[in-house]
Amino acid sequence: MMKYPLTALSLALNVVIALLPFYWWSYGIDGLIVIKDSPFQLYMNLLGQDLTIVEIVNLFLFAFRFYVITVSSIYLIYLYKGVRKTYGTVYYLSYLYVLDPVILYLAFNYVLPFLGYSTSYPFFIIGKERMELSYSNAQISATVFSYPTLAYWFSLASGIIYLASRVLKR
Amino acid sequence: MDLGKGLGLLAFVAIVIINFYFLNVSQIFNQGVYQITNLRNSLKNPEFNFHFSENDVTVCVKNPNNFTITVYNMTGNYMYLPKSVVVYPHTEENISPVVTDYQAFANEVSSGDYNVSIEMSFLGLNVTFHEVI
Repeated sequence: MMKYPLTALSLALNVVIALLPFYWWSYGIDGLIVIKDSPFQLYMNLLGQDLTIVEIVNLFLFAFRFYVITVSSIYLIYLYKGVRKTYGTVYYLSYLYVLDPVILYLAFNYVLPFLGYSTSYPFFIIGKERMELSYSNAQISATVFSYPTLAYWFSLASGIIYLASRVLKR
Repeated sequence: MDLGKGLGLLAFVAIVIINFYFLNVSQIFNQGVYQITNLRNSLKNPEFNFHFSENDVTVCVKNPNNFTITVYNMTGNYMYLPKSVVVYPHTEENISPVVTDYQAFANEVSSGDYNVSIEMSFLGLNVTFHEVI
């Protein structure tokens, strides 16, 4: 195990991250819609109401926690016996989160115009921005926000350790 | 597939089965779908009805939603709103915009192409409507 400290640390952090009950990112449009999520849980609030259908998704995401914990734990046991196996799912997930704002940007600027809305959605990853939307005879101006939580930075840091363990073969 | 991923998948399936066994998933699903269909109906356009009398105009604003609407301004030729009006959920409010020249205003309205823009705010959104009365 001491031969591969980075791999051991990365696997152990996977277990810790899968156990943490925090959301990774929160984003939304004013009071219209608020979304908080992590790969292990999801929360949605639409027009001031918590959506209960999300609980169905959460059943599977909860089980996914145990998948990550089991795989990481068993790889740690392998490592203890001298066989090095790396597990990159948490790494990929933490990096894919940066893609979310890109997907939103494309959806607002290229998909909504097809549905008759004209929008000007600014491209940004973290922070809050003003957004304009117009549909038939109405113009809507709203604040869009997107913030990562401390748990997200922790996951991203764990992703970097994973990457280092792969590159350095440690 | 190696042992780790095999056992991981087994743990995943086991937890899903336990969840489905102990929770009334179909009820959660039905409630969720019911809530979404209700939400879709719950966002209604507020109604603006213009009433004209001898020498002034009253606008009856009907808010059929579960949230408060604030009407900031209502502007058109010869017309403006001196102060914003709050319309609480499921209530009506009569608004009296100020008309500066009623004769000219009445002429434009009767010709049927009077443009009014209504600025309002709800759920943190700022919405501007353009209407022809």
